[in-house]
Amino acid sequence: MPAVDDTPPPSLALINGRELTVSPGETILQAARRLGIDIPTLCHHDRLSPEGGCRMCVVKCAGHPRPLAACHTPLEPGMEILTHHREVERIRKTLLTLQLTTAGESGLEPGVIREGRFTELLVSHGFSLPRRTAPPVKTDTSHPYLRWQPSACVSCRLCLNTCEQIAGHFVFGMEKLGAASRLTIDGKAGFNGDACSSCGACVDVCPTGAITDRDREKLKNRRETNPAPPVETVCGYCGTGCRMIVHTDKRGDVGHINGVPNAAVNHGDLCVKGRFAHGWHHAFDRLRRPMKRSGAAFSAVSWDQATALVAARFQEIAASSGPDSIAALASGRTSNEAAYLMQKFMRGVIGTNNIDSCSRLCHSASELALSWMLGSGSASACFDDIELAGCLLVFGTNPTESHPILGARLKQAALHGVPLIVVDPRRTDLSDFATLHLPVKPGTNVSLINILCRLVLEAYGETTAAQAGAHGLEFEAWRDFVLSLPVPEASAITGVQERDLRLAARIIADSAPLLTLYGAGVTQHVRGTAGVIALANLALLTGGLGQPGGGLLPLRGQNNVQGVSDMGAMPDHFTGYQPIRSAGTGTRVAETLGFHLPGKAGLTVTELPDAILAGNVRALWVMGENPLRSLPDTAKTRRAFEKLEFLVVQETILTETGKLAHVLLPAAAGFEIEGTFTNAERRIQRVRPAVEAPGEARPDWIIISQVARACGAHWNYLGPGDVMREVGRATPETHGGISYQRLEQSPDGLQWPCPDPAHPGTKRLHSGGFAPGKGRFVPIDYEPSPAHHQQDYPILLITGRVLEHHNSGGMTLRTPNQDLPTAQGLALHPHDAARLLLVDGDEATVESAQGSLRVRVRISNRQLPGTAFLSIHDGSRPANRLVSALPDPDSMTPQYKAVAVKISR
Amino acid sequence: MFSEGSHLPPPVHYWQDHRGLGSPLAVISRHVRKHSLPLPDRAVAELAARTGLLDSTIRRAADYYRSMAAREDHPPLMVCQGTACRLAGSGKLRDALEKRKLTCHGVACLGYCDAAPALLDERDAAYTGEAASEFHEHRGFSQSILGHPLPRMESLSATPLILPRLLQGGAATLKEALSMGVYEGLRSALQQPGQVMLDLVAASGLSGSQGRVAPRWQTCAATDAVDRYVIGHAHAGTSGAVVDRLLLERDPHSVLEGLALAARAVGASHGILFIPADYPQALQQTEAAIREATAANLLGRKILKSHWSFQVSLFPGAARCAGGEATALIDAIETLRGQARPQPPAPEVAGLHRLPTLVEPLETLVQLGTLAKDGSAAWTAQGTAECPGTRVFCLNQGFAHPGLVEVPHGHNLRDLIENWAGGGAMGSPLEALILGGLGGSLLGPGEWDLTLCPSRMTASGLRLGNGSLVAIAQTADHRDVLSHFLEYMDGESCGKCTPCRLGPAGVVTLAARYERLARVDRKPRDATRARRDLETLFHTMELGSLCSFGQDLPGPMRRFIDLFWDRIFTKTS
Repeated sequence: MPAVDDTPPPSLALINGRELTVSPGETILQAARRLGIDIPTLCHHDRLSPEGGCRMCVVKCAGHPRPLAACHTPLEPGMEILTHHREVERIRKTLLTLQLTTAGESGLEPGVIREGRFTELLVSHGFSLPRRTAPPVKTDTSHPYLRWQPSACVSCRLCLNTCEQIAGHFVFGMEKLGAASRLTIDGKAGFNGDACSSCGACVDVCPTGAITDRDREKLKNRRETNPAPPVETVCGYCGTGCRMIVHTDKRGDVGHINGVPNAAVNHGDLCVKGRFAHGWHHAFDRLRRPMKRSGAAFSAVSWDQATALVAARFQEIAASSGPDSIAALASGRTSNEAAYLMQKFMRGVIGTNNIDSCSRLCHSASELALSWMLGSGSASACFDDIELAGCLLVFGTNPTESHPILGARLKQAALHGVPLIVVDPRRTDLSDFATLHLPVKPGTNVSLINILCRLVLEAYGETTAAQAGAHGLEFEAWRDFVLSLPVPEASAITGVQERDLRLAARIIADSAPLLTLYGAGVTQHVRGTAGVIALANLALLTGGLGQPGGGLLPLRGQNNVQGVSDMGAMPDHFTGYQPIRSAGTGTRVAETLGFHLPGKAGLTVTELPDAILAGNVRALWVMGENPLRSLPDTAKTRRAFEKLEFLVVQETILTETGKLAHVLLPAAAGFEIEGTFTNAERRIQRVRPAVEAPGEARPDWIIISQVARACGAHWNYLGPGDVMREVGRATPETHGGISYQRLEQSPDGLQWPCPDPAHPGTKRLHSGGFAPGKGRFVPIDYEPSPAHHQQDYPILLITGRVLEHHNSGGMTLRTPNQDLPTAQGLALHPHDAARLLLVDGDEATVESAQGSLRVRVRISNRQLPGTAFLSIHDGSRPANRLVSALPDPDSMTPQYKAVAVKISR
Repeated sequence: MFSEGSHLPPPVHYWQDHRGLGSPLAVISRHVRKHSLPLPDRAVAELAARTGLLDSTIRRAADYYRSMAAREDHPPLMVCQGTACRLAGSGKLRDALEKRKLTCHGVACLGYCDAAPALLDERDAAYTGEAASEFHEHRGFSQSILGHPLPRMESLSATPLILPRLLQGGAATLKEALSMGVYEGLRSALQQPGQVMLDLVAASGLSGSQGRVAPRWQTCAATDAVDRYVIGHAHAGTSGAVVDRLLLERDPHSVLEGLALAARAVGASHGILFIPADYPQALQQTEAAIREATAANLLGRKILKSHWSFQVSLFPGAARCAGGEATALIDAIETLRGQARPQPPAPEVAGLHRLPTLVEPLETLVQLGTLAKDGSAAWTAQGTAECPGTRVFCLNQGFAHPGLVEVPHGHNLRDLIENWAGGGAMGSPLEALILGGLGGSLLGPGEWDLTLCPSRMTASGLRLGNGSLVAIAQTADHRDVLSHFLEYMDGESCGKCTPCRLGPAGVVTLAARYERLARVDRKPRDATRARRDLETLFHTMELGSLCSFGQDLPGPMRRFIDLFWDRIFTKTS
């Protein structure tokens, strides 16, 4: 048959008469969008697999007897599509009529639909917005944040699919059939049940407002949306660094929060803390004015008086007993700029290296071990590697609770078939989705990793093993060492069955590249540095470092705890991890910044209490930290802090530490400042003020500059951007190309190293090889933890976070998060509980060599027998009272993850 | 079959028999039948210990079987509401029983269409015909206890391919089955590569209700995947599934052999039998058969000392599942929700757990044993050129001589009705036939000169469906038949797509409006508009629905309304 002129050639198709090339796998909907043609949809979402339920997207296709659903039908060559043909328009109208007239049975009460996607569809199809015909079912407000109005539900299942395909929580279900089918929320339990993590992803997608939240409801009722444009900033909770949009209300307070769609880190998703726990910004007990101690109470003073007092006392103490009698703590919560200025103040103005931060309490071991072995102490990989990995090893971290967005990404990767190995003494949520869960005994990580290395080596053939040897120096010595380790012994030490160890090694060996994500479960041990060294050995052996989908990804706990170390808030390193002791650093500082770097390394935060008690440190400036809660051995820490002659606490709220201060400086909080945060994958992102700081509270960088000026320094920064420029000058190798101008242009930020303004940033370290002389295998042997085999204290206590709260709880406990059902209390295995004659809900005493606590017992078979778990957030029962001050001798990180305790009724 | 060198342990699914204790879901469904929901924590823990499943899975599964759950720990009577039973007055029967304070559950179909109405008592014993109609008198004297009689069965083909063993009285035990030559086909197929079986299926022209099966099987076998599944479903869903019930109760080993051979042909390592949970006896027989066959190494690991392993799991389906739509079956197994999924991808490309999956009715499967043993000659010798082989039709009690009949494809429908079945029961003339279930074809008397061949019927816009034939007599309550259509669609729609979920309710609204307007008779123009709206609605349901269930049902329903408009809307009684 001769070709007719007007039939399109094979690879072309027509939509509404416009020609386009067919790309394989593309749906009609996607193709139409390419042409700017809008096909109406109700149940479709780009990030979900096509649902095909609402049928609003039906389109006419020439030659097909029935219309095609655009959302799930691939566009094929030769198709002639009409998106708004009379026939399909009639179907769409009939469908909307059905929803409005007959859906009463399935729950829809037309009058309660919110303005949104569904009402837009009604209007665009010529329906007038329906009025309420009957009083709607009362909105379910039993959850602190989420609201459920069943009579506005159109059964589109966007919530269900989002919950399953993105958040990974499986909260929703459908009950009954036909017109009677209804959405169920965790069976009958609702959002307050165990399944829901309150992330609010369902709120974002609900087209009718059947599921909404407290914040939106409030704004709706008061009609108080602020006409000012919403502000894009970065979350101030964990180290994931989710980008968010903060909408304000008419009073200028935080109204509601969304994720930034298409953000590189979170793709528009947020967790319960990021989305909802913002109320603390407007808490009544925020610090509003500078205050000075007079006797037992505080009295308000002016900023000038406060800064003058701080400057005078510091100068006085430095003059009488030397600059090293003053110390400061920067924080992982403040901006990079504040952290930089704080260390510059201590080094350049006071003249001491006594500057440290909370990074010491979590990932110093990583910084130390990784820079020693690989040449850089930061994450080699990036979050995008999660989806690219051949095998995921999640070691000593519970990301679904402590880094929920990463947890969700990991869960989806596992559900899509990426082998996942979870190593954790607890059966975490993620381990239920894992290919293999290795319940390791706390404090035996090194043995476990070493034996995995041995078994992986054995699983490799000879050629692969030889190739692996080329990944690093000193391979032979290390290989001989790990091959000498007996498997049964490791199995006995770690409590993991030999069969599981071998299976894990097979999985790792067969599915390269290996991406290792690890957390404080590795570093917060006396052998924490050794643990990281062992993990780095495994990473070198499997060869994924610097490759897409491979490498090491230490998960950082706070929004900017990466940045505070990058900025040099460490007693032995200047910015960009330049060692103090190296002569080059001193010369560069003198040349570019014009001050002399003190030569003697300073004190770490862990050493601070002893130094104070010994009289070596007399004054302390604490910025954004609460050491009385975060340091181990609370009793000793309190004794030390009470002994201080001069304590300055710069904070947003009055903390336990703040109560001991001599001067309180009110600081602006996360949504009130301008600056940058660096997340766990080295991504520097812009932070912008969305609301005003309360009272006279000021951003940290301004406070430090003022104190510096009062001390006589000539600091004249025009803004935080100015500070970042100076960081670039001081650290050209990593931050040379970072400027606020560039950060404005690339909203997803830049990943350092970024040495010059044309550099695109570095997604993965080591992709071009290791620094000279680095990339070496280090044999490191297991040693028992001091918490093991203590006859008087037979149970190993793990301390850590729960989803709903953050660190010492200063932020989250000032929000409705405190009303969320939380797994608080001491989790204990049923066997241990039975032995101790404890039942669920009993009060029990936990006692360690350091102190004791009364806590409520929660029985959970997610614990290993012989271990217990206690969350760290409850201020009235500070878990750290039990923790020993004995740190890892290399990283000076205390052992929070294995505390020998005894439990009694 | 996992590819060599793959180290990952194959995932163990909750529906899988992994402790050698039989189907974990059968345990749960039986428990739910005897106990009220929600299950107390203790019962959940007990079931969890017995089945090795998580507590949350037990709760979800129990919820899936809620339609058969006991009330106050008293199992309800299961009263069949299939089309045949409905025409035999099971709707009224149910009301009457409820009046006597007996709890009743309506069931899609119990598989006794030839002896309607039917019900199951508290102990799952079946009562049919008069015994069911007067249940209160016959209570405790079920025919199934006394030995339920087999329906009238006959083959109009010289070599029956589906019913041969049933015609000889069935082969429920392995011993009987072996004596009738079951598993000989499997034995010979194991000597040859799977491709030989696939070629045999293609050569025989084996056909289901959609025409030849071979193209789908070839796609399934050719798709690149680590593993495949075969699902045999006895869930025609719509009424008329008598043959499925009988095959499972009396010829389960042929079904198992067929499942294994289908798996062999496409390269699957796992088979699932999807059996409605309201076929309690069929479930029990099949479970026993799987146990026997596994013990005799006819199923399981390294079958008959070959290198081929094949495991069969039983999935008791909660009664309703979009009329047995393949994607809905798959979704039921995967998520316990039973919702249709968009196609493409077709199940044979990406089905259960995204692996290529064959979904075949039992009638197709039971033919495979003979095919493997004796070759394809018996198929090519009968039937039509498009669809060789035979087909079983089940004629309901509305005919003078109801029963099961196996005929070669291409047989004339009128001959079947008039000569084999002797026309309407008690001499009452027939007004219409429902062929192949409610989603099949509604045939007026002028349309009975029909060649019963799936391919030819599809070409003329008709559907053979599950091969059931239901007679609608002059005396039928047409209004009740229409409500039956609507209730069936509403009760079986998975609820995923709007037209199918809300369409039946829309029809009810419009019909009521029409009736009101027509009766008042003041606004004929509005009445016409209501009728036109009804037409638009059917059109939307037919064209807009996601799966074949929603697409197929409106046709016969609309035809029924067109044929009997006056009888439905002007009935005065």
